[in-house]
Amino acid sequence: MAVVRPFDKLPALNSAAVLLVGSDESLQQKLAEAILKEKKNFKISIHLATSLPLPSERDHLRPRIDLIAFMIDIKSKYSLKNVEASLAHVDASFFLGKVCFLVTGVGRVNYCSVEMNAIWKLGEVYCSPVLYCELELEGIRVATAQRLLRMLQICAGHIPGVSALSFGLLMRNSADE
Amino acid sequence: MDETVAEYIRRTVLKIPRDEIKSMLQTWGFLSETQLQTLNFHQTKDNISQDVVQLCEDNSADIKQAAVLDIIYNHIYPNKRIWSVYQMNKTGEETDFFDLTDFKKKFKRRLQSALKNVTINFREYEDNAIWIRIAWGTPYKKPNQYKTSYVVYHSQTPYVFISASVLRSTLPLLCQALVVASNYHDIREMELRSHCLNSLKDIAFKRYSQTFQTYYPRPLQERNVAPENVDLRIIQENRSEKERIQRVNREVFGDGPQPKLEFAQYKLETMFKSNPKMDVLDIKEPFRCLVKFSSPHLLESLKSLAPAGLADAPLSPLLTCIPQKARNYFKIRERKGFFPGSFVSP
Amino acid sequence: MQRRQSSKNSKQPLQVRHSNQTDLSAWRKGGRTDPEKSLQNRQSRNSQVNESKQDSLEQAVSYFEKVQDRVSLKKNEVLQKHLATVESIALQKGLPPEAFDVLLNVALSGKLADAVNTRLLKSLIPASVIPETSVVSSVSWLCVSKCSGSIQLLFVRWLITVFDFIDHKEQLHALYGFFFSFLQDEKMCPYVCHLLYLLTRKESVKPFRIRRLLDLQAKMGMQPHLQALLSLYKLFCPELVSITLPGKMKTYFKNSEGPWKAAINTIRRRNQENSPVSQPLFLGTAQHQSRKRKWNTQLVIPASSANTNSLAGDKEKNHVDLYSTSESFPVEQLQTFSQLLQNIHHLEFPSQMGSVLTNPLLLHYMNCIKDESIYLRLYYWMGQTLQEECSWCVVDSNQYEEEFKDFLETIYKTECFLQEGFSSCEEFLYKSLPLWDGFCCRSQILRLVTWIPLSSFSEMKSHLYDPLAQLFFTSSLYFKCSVLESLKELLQNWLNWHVIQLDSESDSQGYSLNTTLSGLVNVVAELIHFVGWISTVALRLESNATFLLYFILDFYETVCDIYLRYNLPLLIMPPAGVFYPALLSMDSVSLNQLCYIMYRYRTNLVAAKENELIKKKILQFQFSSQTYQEYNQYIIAMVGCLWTSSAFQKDIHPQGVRLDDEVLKKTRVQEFKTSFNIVYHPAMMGYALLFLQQAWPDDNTFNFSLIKGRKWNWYLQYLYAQGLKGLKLFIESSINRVSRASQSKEGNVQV
Repeated sequence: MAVVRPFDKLPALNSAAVLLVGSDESLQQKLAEAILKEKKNFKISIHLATSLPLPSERDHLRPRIDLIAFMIDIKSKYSLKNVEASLAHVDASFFLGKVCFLVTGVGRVNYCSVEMNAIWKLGEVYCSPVLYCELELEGIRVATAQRLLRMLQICAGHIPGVSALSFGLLMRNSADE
Repeated sequence: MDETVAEYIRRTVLKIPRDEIKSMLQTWGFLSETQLQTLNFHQTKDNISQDVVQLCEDNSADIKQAAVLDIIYNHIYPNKRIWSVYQMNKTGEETDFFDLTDFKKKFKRRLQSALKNVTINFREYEDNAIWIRIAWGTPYKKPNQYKTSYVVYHSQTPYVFISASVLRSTLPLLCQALVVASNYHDIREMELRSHCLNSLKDIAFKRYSQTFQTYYPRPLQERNVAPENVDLRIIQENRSEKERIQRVNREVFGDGPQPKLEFAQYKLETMFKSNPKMDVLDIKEPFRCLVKFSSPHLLESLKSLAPAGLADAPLSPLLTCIPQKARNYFKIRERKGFFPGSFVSP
Repeated sequence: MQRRQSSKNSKQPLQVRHSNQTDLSAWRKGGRTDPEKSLQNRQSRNSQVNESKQDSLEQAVSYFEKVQDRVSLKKNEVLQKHLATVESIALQKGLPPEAFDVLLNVALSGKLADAVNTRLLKSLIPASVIPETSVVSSVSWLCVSKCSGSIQLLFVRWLITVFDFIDHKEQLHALYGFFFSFLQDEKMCPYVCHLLYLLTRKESVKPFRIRRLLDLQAKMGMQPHLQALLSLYKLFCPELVSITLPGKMKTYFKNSEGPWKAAINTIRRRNQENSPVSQPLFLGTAQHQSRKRKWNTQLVIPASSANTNSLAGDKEKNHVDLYSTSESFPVEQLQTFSQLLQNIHHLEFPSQMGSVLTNPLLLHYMNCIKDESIYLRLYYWMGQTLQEECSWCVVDSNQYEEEFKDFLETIYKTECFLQEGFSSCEEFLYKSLPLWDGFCCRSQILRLVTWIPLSSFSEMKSHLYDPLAQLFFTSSLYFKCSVLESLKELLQNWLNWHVIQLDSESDSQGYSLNTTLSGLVNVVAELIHFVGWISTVALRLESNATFLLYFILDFYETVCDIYLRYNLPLLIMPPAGVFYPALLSMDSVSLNQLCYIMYRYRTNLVAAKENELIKKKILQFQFSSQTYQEYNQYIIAMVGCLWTSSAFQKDIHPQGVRLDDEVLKKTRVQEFKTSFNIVYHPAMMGYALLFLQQAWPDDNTFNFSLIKGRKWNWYLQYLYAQGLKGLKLFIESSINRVSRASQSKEGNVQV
């Protein structure tokens, strides 16, 4: 089982690949469909995984991954644990702006079983932005898909003058500025 | 006709959904077809019940007949009560021929000798099940028709399904009577309870589907592949892992629908395990806690946990052993020399 | 009102009151209809439809009125039936006001078993209002301890939930001390605290009560509910409560809504779905178009009040006496201007504080009297509502997004009206912005942002700027523009606030430069820097979109004029990441805007310098030489670009467009020197072309070099005539044209 690396493959022309990692597959699927529905001017491939590492037998089929979004459900401790375990299988250079945490379940804070602080810390430790959303709601799902797409475009280098690293720095809560 | 009987019939009728009143009364067979035809089923249930009572008055019904109506209602709506499974044991290998009249006689005699006032009714159903309704009284008090016990006994099996009366003290007597009447040696509670009588039967009689016996790999795979690949741009990376989860799940839970249980309860009496740096470890007292899982359909929800990505597959055997062990109440104790968390039967 | 009709007082001629409506009635939400009559109509129509139900409810109520002691539920069919009737009707339509008296009485009298009492209490869901008298009489049952502790507790929780439905609270206030005595009950304490919190007025705060509370706190430790009450007391009488309390608490009270809230909401919605005629909820006041949920109903002042009956008598003669006896005057009774004059010192606000939001008169009044407690009541209610109904924080509220939008809109309008932000609203924004998706209720939220009050930078940064920046960078162009727009308004609101402060101060001791001013300058500067930063990034992300540039320059139109227009000694130049994209923009609008901004900067800077020289006063705040330097760098670049065709040589800004001739030659662009002057600039070339066509109609060679000398001046006049006012102001102010006749020597003015 291989560690995912951001630069071990050549980028394909006018295309981008995003990897969604999360235990709730139905939400994952819905989000992926929402991303596909958005208008975009490049080829996209969305890879869904419940956890990392990715099975190595598919390594040769997989394009270069431009962005990894880890999905955490605040209603499920398991989802956080799963993400924490998966993070170990990500190459360190991914954390230079090509990872984000997608926290869903914000609409049911009363059923929250995950320490919000833990999620916030995760973002700090891994230098990656944390986006909050409620994927159960269609409207928010679409908005989230759009935001992910924008990040993906930057991470794939489609926006001249903005690199994933510089964007990642912008997105960080600049407490230490 | 006794006032209490009339009231009892009225209330039983009120319990029945309106469009089923007629068919239940027909099953009951106490009122003649012509009498039934005089009934207007399109009025309020209150009025229907009054009319039924009036007809029963004409036929001078007694509590026996009223009780039969109650059995019929409970047979159709067993989910209204909570059922508990009991298992009886024999010492020897003597194979008695089951005699129904003998059973009834012994059962009645046993209860009536202990309590003078008790209403006992039997009703046999085609699946070899005998439904017994017991309304309890005391030597000085009339039986309370509203706090009844129900027993469902399948004569070919050692299993008895009891829905106990709220009068808890009657339970030992009932068990005694059952053991005596059915020529068994003793009876024990299996710690398996649910509202769904049929599911309890499925579990007790091992009628639910088990995959290790019936393993069909092919149709399942076809079923899995179909809904995926809606769009080629979405790539499932963990397909093989998902298939493994499906497989494991199938092995554990089988293909068919799960028996319906509403809860599973685990009483933990294990030592508290913690980081050795923490001082809590020194406490030698077991750490007591009660874990209760509840769901409208517990086993189905357990079954869908792993495919939904909410838990690792396979689930803990503590959760999956429920149908095999035929119990949903557990006590988990510390066992010396064994790994912690292993559970022992009480 | 409904209650009055059915109760013993109904024979009194209530209509008198309404016969002399006056101009003041306007504040009651438009042309008000006669409450009594319309209600009668509604009732009669209602009753026709629901006659059978009404009957059975009446039977049930009269049964409970006469019910004997200790009737067993199990054995008594009749009780069962009536109980079921009450429950089902309560859940379906809510109970009419007259039912509460009887049902509360029976539930608290201990006549029946606790199971029955609980069920009765749980079904006490109001269809419209709850008469105060029934609450009072039920409280009296608590004194004789006929009912069990759990029933008492349930009752108090019920009271908290339906507090806003009680038609008036005069007598309830009189029972304050009685409720207070319940504090010693450990189980009741949190709920009683909550109830007291709702009831407390200034006159309720007494030294012995404070002592009692402090004793309790000493005994039970720092409990949030006790602290809540204490902080309220402290607010009313700071001289009596000397202990220090923690500043902000998240939640004082546990959610005590119990089993009623959902049912109340359902009935609300159901009533709303039916025709407006069948709404007994909205008492007597005029129809409001979009009243749907809680806040909407509360936005209308319930037209019922304590002294209605006495009022109705002979008000012309003795109303003065009547009012002088009462401590405060409920606004619901306010009818005439003379009444307002007589009672202006002790007007009592409606118990449904939310109704204030849509009532300009009350808002004026609130603004005048500056009573902290009124704001506190409003904030408490608003904070709660915002939190419960927020449509992205609470999934279940999502279907009511439209209504939530309306609510936010109302708050925003009120804030505009009062010209200040609400702290509850600020708290809500701070709490929910990090969880916001930037989509739901977008325009409403961004408008509320404009009223966030000034606070310390660190707070603003972590609560507002950081979450907003994250959304800003990942969202669409349109969202970016909206954010910039609302930040501009935020800046303007702050600056306006500052101007008003200045005005009020100048009366007394003149313009004193105290610490708050330096604080203000810092916070405003941070906001401007923040906008500069996100603008720079946004321009790069959106590849210098003109639309975005417009909003950014719009923001700087406010910034460049701060010194002169808002009298705040602060001027901050736009960052190079904004200046150069605007200067080299493809669009004449942006260029024109930039010219105007630079002109205003110049005016402000010149004014500041003159003030410094003339007054010779040592000002605490001076523009640093860096600001002047930055301005000069920009102006050199600009003049070099547009006028002297020497942009690539003269630009001295480190991030500027200065290029070596060697490099420029390699580009093989002919005439690179002139390529950004007002003729060749990509934003201006269109004008130049049209000018050529008009000046030399026969020439098709498009020889731009023809524009020089006198033609150059003509061309300038042509540009001014095309509406490029900013360019005109800029050229006339910043470019020193030595000789009007020849264009040979043009210089620029540095300040």
